[in-house]
Amino acid sequence: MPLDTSSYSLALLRLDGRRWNELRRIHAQISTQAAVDGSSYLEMGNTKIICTVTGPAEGRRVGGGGSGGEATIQVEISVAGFSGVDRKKSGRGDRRIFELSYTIEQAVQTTLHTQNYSGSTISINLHVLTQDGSLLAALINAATLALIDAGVPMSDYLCACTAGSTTNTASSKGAPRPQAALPGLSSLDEEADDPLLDLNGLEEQELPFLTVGTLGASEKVVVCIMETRVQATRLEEMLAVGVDGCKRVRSIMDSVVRDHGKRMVDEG
Amino acid sequence: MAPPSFAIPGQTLAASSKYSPGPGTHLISSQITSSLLGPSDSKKNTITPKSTPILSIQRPSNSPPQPSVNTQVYARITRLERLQARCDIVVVSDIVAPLPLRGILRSQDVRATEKDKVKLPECFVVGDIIRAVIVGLGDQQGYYLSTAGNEFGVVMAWSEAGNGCVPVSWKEVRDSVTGVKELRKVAKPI
Repeated sequence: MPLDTSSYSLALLRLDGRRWNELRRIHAQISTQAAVDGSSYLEMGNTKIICTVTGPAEGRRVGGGGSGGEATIQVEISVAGFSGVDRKKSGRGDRRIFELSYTIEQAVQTTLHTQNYSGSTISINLHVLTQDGSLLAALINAATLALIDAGVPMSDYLCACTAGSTTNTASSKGAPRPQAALPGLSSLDEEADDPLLDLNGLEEQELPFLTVGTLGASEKVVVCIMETRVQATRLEEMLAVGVDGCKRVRSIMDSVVRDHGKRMVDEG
Repeated sequence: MAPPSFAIPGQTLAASSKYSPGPGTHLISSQITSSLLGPSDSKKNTITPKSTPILSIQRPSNSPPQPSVNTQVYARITRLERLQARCDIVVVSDIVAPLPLRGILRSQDVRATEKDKVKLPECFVVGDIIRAVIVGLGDQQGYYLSTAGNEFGVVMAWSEAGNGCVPVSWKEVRDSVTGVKELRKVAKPI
């Protein structure tokens, strides 16, 4: 029987039945592959990521330009052709993928103690199996778990999540409402322009959102990426909701890491 | 306050006034913080005994044993080439490796004497188990092994007929069923 979603809008629930500040289910595993130094599998809702980390290992220098006493971090993202709704050939030089990997590279560089491994390379391989929103956040979280498994020293966890905003500013100015196609959202914006936590793929297409990544329990923002337009006044509460979401993501990842650590100690 | 027995990255362990930061830790505003996942360990500072004990985080030892030079290993021959034999290292200093490590046995490392007269097919056959010693860490291709010395060489061999063999001399083994002799660089039984 299909789920009756007609009352969702009355109860201010989202399309998938969550409240505005609820995360999707996060499931994570560490050490999934034996052949690499560190690996992880992460699900955030229907976004599923496999991450493998090799290194720190002797790197093959490309071009000879040394980065002077720090380890190089290589991030490679491969998006499976079947991961989205419509099948896409993954272009090698996709700018979006390049930007994702660059963002992860920069973020990871700030948290890892790369100065201990000068001249070596840490390569992070990320495979996107299915994507349903919060792609960058899921990639960052998966990379963090795999790096913990690989035993690369880091200052703290890097965890990320997305936050969006149901703006009704567009409708108040008489502009066409982009959310009108989604009944659950269109009724929401009559109430107020609420911030939303952890957007799924459908919401991401319709609403402005940002991805925020924080370092550990502190509220230190390491990553903040927004690709859509939003009114500047909305930004502050979106960021606040995002940072709060990161804390909850962190507590989930924390329990996963602790479980794994216990198992490691018991076995070895 | 005693530091926690088990630490995760970013976890505050102790104040730097009571301990000194060791491997696997870092300092954040005079607090020793873990940078690895693993059990914590405090040791006395042996260099300056009067200072605070060193607090460190060790990775649990279920990570594969890393061979070093002069480590004795057991390996299975996987391929014979003209000048070198490739093999999979399966046991590193009496610990079974969870994943075989690649090794290379060059013909000049097979025996200590008459190095240039070594013919690899007269010393090994693919599938033989050898006892060897690591002589170099090598590169991406694998560890360099050596069987120079009496106690190194083939320890388990199978004849062309597929039967197990027993050593009869330092360079010959005999099929335990058919009695046919084959050439090997045999390890001295210990």
